[in-house]
Amino acid sequence: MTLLEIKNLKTYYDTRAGVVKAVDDVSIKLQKGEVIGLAGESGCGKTTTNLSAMRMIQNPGKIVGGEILFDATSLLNGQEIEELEELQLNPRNILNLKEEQMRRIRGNQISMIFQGAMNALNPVHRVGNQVHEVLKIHEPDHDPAEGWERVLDIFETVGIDSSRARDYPHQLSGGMKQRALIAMALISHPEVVIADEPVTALDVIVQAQVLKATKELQKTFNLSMIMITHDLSVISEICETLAIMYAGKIVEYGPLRNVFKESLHPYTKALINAFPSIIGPKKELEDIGGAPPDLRNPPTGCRFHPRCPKVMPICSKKVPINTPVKDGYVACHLYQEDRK
Amino acid sequence: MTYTDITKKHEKKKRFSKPREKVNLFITKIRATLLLIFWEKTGLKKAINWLKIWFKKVLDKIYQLYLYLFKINSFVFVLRILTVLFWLAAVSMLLLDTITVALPIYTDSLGTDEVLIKALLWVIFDLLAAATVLYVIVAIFVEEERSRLPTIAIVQIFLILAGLLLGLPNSEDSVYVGFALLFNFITIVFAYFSFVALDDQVKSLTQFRKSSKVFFRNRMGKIGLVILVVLVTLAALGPSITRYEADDMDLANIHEGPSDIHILGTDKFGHDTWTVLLDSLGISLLVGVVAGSLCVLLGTTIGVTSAYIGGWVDTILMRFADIVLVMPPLPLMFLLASLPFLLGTIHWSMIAIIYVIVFWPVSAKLIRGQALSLKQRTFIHSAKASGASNRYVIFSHLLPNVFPLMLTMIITSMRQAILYEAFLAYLGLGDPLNNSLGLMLQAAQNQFALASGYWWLIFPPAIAIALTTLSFAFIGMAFDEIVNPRLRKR
Amino acid sequence: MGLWKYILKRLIFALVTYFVAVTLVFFIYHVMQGDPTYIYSGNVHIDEDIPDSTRERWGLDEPLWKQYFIFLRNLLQGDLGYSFFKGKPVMEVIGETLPWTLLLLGSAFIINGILGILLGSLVAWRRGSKVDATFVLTYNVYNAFPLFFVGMLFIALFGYYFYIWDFPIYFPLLGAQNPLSYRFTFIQQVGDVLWHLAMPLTVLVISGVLGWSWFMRGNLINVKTEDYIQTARAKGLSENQILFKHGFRNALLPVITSIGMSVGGLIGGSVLIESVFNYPGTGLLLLNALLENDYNLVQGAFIIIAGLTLLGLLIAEILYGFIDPRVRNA
Ligand SMILES: Nc1ncnc2c1ncn2[C@@H]1O[C@H](COP(=O)(O)OP(=O)(O)OP(=O)(O)O)[C@@H](O)[C@H]1O
Ligand code: SF4
Ligand SMILES: [Mg+2]
Repeated sequence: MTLLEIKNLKTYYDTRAGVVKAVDDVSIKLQKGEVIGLAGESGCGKTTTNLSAMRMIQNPGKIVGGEILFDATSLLNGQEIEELEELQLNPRNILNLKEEQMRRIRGNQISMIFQGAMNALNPVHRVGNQVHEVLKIHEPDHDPAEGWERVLDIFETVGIDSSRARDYPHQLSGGMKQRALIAMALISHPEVVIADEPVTALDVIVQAQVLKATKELQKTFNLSMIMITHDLSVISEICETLAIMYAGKIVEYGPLRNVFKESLHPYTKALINAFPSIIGPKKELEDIGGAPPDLRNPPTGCRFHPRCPKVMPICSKKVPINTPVKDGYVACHLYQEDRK
Repeated sequence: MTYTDITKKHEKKKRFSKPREKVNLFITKIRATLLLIFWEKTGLKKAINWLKIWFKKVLDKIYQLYLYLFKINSFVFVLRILTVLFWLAAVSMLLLDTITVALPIYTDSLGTDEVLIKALLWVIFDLLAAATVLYVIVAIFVEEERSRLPTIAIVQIFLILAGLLLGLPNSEDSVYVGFALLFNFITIVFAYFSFVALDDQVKSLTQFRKSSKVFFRNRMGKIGLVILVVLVTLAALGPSITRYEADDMDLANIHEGPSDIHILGTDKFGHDTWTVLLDSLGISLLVGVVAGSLCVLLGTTIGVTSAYIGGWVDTILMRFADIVLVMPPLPLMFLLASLPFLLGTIHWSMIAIIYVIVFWPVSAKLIRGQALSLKQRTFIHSAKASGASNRYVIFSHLLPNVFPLMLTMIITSMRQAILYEAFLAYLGLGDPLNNSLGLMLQAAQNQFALASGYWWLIFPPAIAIALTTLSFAFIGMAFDEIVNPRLRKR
Repeated sequence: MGLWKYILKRLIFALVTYFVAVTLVFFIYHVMQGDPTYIYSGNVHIDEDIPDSTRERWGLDEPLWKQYFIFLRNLLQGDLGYSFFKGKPVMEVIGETLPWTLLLLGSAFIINGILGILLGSLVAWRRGSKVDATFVLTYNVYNAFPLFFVGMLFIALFGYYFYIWDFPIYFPLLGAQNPLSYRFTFIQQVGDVLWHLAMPLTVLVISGVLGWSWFMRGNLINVKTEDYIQTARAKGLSENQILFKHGFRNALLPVITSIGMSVGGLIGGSVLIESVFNYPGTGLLLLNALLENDYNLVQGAFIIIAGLTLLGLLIAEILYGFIDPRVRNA
């Protein structure tokens, strides 16, 4: 069952220096219980894609096209749905919802764990209260004492001693803060969790612990997740599906195994080569030559062509379309029929 | 169609109901016609565009010239020769001063303690000046010492000011040392340009061009700059563009309103307000500029030193700053102002010094904070790891990075200094011999200007103060955007 | 018990600062002038007029360092010397003026704080709107004029012209009380004091509120870009909830730290305002004492004013300790 579907999403930032096409025609389908990994260089638009999914793009950013399909009709009352249908709008496309209706979804059915745990918690409120706040918003008439019990429960679940719930963020370690953020995302039993580089700021050992906890939680709650990271080893640990993003577009999409072992797109190959593997045989690391493109005026045709080792004449002229391959797709002229 | 499109439609409908729409249309039409008539038909648009382009070209030319000059060795050579000549001049002046002025005062003074103390101060002052002058030659020839040139320049500025306070402008004998310091200052500037690494110059220039782009994008900054330039020009031209001198008294026309002969009327002594205003503007600006920049320079020196050395030096300096900081500024200024007050009248440069004494901790603390966070950054760690000396790190890494903040603070500080000068003058603690905007307001108040309807006595100085401080505030806000990108709107 | 340690530390710092301030004032006056009797009377020629009892009490014939300790001892006993111009002990003179200053400062302080923070939050959250633009302009224009000029305008308009134009309401030109107010009933007296307070307070409050909200606005704009604001948004909070639950308190912290500074500035402002409106407060007293060379009074008034500033600062710092958990359980 498809839970969340991002369809042809376009999100642009209208800056003084020009329009940054941070996300350009991106589609992602998230099934119930699936974990999708989203990988790519820094600045390729991963965070923007997911903020768009939550409709949290701030000025000067704007969603200029596409659909985000998520069934949130259970949170709308009959009248609101009628209103939308009267205007011939799909109530399942959350881009059609009003801001107030959208707020009912955020943190309730779709929640997000942010990049950089250090500053993502408010320093002047107790951690437990910050987690409890989610319940207070989305279940306004719950019993506070019972809610606090739930907070303590979820703290234990994510692996923090529940006595720490009354602490302030500065009294927790980085790993604990990250766990607290996970607790915050999970407490309302959301259907979709988006994790934006949840472990980047932590040291390797804590990283492993937090990842392990995340994986277990995902299993027990049967969560659907989108996991953003630069770190391919993180992805290989908990994802089933992998999407590789380059310069605002998804260039390869498919089951983890296929993308990893039999990667097709030249960028994917380069990305995997650029990553050291601890267990496997030692190999020469290759970095991808050239700099990431300027998203204000991206290269024509295939956006990877200035850096691609297998570049062909057509690459700079025509945008490659998504070619279906085993359970996924790849956007590259190498695998297209009409290549010359 | 997304939700946003629809709300926009609704909003539009709501916002422009029928009559509003008509009015709006009308206004737009009028604006368009006016623009057409005054902006395009008169050729103003063309002229301004042309000016803009021309201005840019000139700037580029100057920039290129600068780069070019620094590539030519002969230019540098001439500069070096000049450096040495000026240095020799400075030294001879100092010698002259010591032999003919300072020593005789000291040896002859069997008089009062006051003269003795003054003479002693004078000799010490001479020695200090001599030390800086001698050091310059060391700095020129020893490569590692060159980065100290800016420090000496700062010390020089302080010495020149101290000289002013000790009576340089009054006594003819002490002119020598003034020239000595001035020459030495020029020496330093020349030496800096001709000896210190040229690459750095070029680098900092490009940095400057980048920042100036941010500055000129800000409309407020531009407005502020234009106002300031106009005010400074007026003040610089001063009474030379008016028909009177500042102390001329037209006794036939007392308390006259604005007329042909007196553009802004006269006060009860027949002084021409417009002339006095220009004269005052000069002093007020001078106090603002001197006090504001000195205050931040001192603050920066202390802040950077304190952050860089750390330890007990830091603790002591900052405790001291805290103590000064928590004293109420205006009463503290009263107290300090009352000291020279007892000895005689107070000169405007005294007010500048008082301002510096009271307000240096503000900038010292801010700069220290910035310097501390810079110190943590890796590039400074790596510079130190690669064996750079403290001084090198401070001058080539810390100061350039602190500089934008410093500039912003100088602007803010100047604005504040102008206001405080006005406060003191208004309260009767200013320099009574030189016109200043605050003094004009006080005089107006004493003549019951508002109640008697002499508006021309009170509004011009008030508006002059407002325009000056406003222009500084606007410029400061534009600088703020350079320092703190979060403030930029997008 | 991090909080108590913190409070104790601040208390000690305040005391040390005060001590240094007092010492400075003493030595500035005594060293610069040399002759203690000169300082004492403010006039060399009335040297003989100083009664022997005073001479003894202040140790005027002793060396300077001894005088300093005598001075400290007397200060601890609440004795600041004798003002020859007023013909009364300094403490008594200041005692007459202090209530008015406290009234003016206290009410200005409270109103500034509350209104300033509210206005600042409003404009920061509506950043870029017309409200914000108007605020920025108003702030800059109002603060461009010296405070005393605004006071002069107020007096001329609401005091003088309203009166001669026969407006139904006008305000007094000077003073804090009607000279005949001792004949009034209590209610009338209160009304009279408020009537006299209105104009000076308004001038102070306008500039104070603008200043505070400017600062609050800057802080909130900075806080708005913090990560935890985004976290709050992801929880589903509305913008207003984010402002009050997550933005407000964080932006308030630096504001409270700066209360110390603002007390100093406020006192400076009140000195100006007191002199423009001839409001008989300690600031005006200090100024007049300076202009009359009444050194004991200058010294005394400064010591009191510095004490007030430090007290304000101390209160602000303790408040900060209570609000910021990082201090509270350090
Ligand atoms: N507020 C903004 N204003 C203008 N441009 C922005 C803004 N936020 C992001 N961008 C631009 O959008 C592009 C995508 O940014 P995004 O944060 O989505 O990247 P990312 O893939 O998450 O990178 P990282 O891995 O470093 O987090 C970048 O080129 C960035 O410069
Ligand atoms: S389309 Fe061409 S340029 Fe792009 S990745 Fe494929 S081969 Fe390389
Ligand atoms: Mg990101």
